[in-house]
Amino acid sequence: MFDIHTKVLERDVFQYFLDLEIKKAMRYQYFFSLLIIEPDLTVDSGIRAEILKTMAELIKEEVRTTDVIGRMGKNNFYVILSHAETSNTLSVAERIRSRIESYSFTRKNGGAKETISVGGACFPTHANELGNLVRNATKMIYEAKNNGGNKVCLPN
Amino acid sequence: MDKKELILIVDDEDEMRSYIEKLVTSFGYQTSSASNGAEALEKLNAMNPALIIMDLMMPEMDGIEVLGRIKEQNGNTPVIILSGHGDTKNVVRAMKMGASDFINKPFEPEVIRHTINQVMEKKNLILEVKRLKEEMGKQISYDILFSNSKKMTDIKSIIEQVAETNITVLVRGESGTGKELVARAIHAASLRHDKRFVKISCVAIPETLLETELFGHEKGAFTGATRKKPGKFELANDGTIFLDEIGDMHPSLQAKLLQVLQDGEFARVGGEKDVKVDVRVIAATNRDLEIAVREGGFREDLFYRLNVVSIVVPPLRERKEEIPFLVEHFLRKYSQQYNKSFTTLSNETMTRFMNYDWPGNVRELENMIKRVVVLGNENAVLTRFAFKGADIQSDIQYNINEKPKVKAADSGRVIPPDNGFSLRSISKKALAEVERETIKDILLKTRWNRREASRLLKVSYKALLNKIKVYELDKRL
Repeated sequence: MFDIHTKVLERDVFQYFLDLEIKKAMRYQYFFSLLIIEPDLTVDSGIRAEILKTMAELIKEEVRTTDVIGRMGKNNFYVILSHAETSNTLSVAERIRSRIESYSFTRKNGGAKETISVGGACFPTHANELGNLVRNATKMIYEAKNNGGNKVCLPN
Repeated sequence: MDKKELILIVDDEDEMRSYIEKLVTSFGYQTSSASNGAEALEKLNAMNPALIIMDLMMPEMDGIEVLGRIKEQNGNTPVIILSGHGDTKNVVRAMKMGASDFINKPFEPEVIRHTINQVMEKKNLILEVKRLKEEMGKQISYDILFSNSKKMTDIKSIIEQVAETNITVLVRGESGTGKELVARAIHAASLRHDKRFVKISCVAIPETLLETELFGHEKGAFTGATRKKPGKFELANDGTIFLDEIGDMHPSLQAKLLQVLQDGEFARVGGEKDVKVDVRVIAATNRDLEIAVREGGFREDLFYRLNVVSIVVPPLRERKEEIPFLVEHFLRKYSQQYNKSFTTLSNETMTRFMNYDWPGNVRELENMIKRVVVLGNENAVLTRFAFKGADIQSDIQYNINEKPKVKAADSGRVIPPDNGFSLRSISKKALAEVERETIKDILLKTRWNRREASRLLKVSYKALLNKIKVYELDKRL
C-alpha cells in the first residue's frame, strides 16, 4: 500500500483514492485539486532516493492531514487537495515549492539545494473527469518545467 | 482498414529514429517522432497516434516512466518497446505495465513490420469489441422503449435528428412515461456521450437550496455557507444537464436559468465573477407549461427558449401495442435480477393488462411486473385487478399526494372523472375526503386535543390516531 522508499501511497492505491475523490466531489458537490509535483533533479539515482524521501516528508508537512499523497512515477508525487479551489490550491502549491527551495538537503558532500515544479488542476473548474483532470495537471507540469522549473502552474 | 494511421516513434538516438521512421513510412504508415519522453507525451496529446514505438533507454525520463504516463493519459494507445541492451528485467516490467510488444535491437525490418501489424490488428479488434458492446448496451436499454410503436419510433427519429446538435430540448409527458430515458437517449446519441450526464429534479429540492445546487455558492454567501460549492452546471460542463420537473421551478430561478441558456454564463450565489460553461440542457415536465405561462407561474421567455424542440412522450394507454414487449422485457429483467424463472404471463392476465389504462404509465407496469416476479405468482396482481379495477389509480394518486381528480369539495358536488372510474371508487374517495375534512375541523376546534376530538367524533382514541395517520394530518396544516 505504501511506497517503501517515500512512505506515501503507491500508484494503484492513489489511483483508487483519486477516483473516489472525483465521485465524492461529484456527489457532494465540492471542489478539489490535483497537484503533480516533480523534482527538477539533476543528480544521479544514488542520491535521488534519499532526496525524494525528504521531499515526501516536506510535502506531508505542508498539506493537511486529510490530503492524499501518492507516488505515481519514479520521479513524481501526486497530491489530492480535498475541498480546495483554484486560489487556495495555488497558495498551497506555492508554499510547498518555497519550502523545498529553502530546505537544505544533506548530502555526503555537504548541504545542497533542490527545487521542484508543480502542475495542478482543479475539479470542476478545469476538468470534471478523471482523464481530463490528470491531463490538465500533466500539461501544467510540462509548462512549469519548460519555463525553467522551480515553478507552480495552474490552468488560467 | 485505413493504412494511413499515425505511428509515433520515440528514441533519443537521431540515427535510429530516422531509420525506423523510414522503415515505418515504407510500410504505408504516417510517422511522427519525438526525441524524449516529454515531447512524446505532448505529441501523444496533440496527435493521438494509433501506435507508439519507443526506446526503453533514454536520458531524463526513461521508457518505463514515459510508458506509465502514456497509460495514464491514454490507456488505449498501444506501445511497442525497443530494447537494445538485453535488459530483460525492464522489458518484463514494461510488458507488465501494459506495453503491447517488444523488439530487441538490432532488428530485421521484417520483424518490425510483423510486430506492428500484429499490434494494430489486436488494437482494432479491441476497439471493435468495445464498440459492439457499447452498441449492444444502448440497444438493450433504448430499443425496448423506441421500437415497438409508431409513436415511439417517431420520437426516436426526432432524437436522432437533434442529438448531435446542441439544441435545448423540452421533454413532455405524463409521469412514468420515460422522459428521463428520452433525455438519456439524447445524451447517449450526442457527441457528448462520453461526458457527464447530470440529473437534477427541480421539485425534490426546496427552492432556496435549488439555486445553490444548480449554480453553486461562494464561501460566506449566506449563513451556513462555510465552503465554496460548485453548482451542477459546473459539474456538467461539456456534458448534458437534465432538469426534471422544470415546471415547478421558482420564477426567480427561471430568470437565472434563462441567462445560462442565453450566454452560457452565470454567477455563483454570493459570487461576482461569472462562470462560463458549455452545457447542453434537456428539460422535462409533466405540467402544461402553456397554462403555467398564462397563469404567470412560468416565464414566457424561458418557455420559448426551452421549447425549441419539444418531444412529447405519449402515455402508455395511447400506445398499448407496446405492452406485450414491455412485459416481456421487464419479466426478463426482474427474473434475472431476483433469480426467478418467471418468463410469461397467462393470456388472461395479458388481456387485463391490455384493457387497463395504466395511469402510472410504464413505471406502473414495471412495478406490477416486479411484484409478479418477486411473488412468483401473477394471481396476486390479478385479484387486485379483478376486484379493485381502476382503484389502483385512485390509490396511487392519493399516495403520491397529488390533488385528487375527484372532489367532494366545498360545492358538495361530485365531479365525475374523465377516464373511467368505477362508482365504487368515487364514493370511496368522496367519503375519504369528507372524513378528512371533518376530522381536521374538529382537531382545529379542540386545538389538537386528540382525546377530546375522539370524544366529539364518537370514535375510539386509537381509531382517531389511525385516521390522522392515514390522512396525513399534521398540526402545522
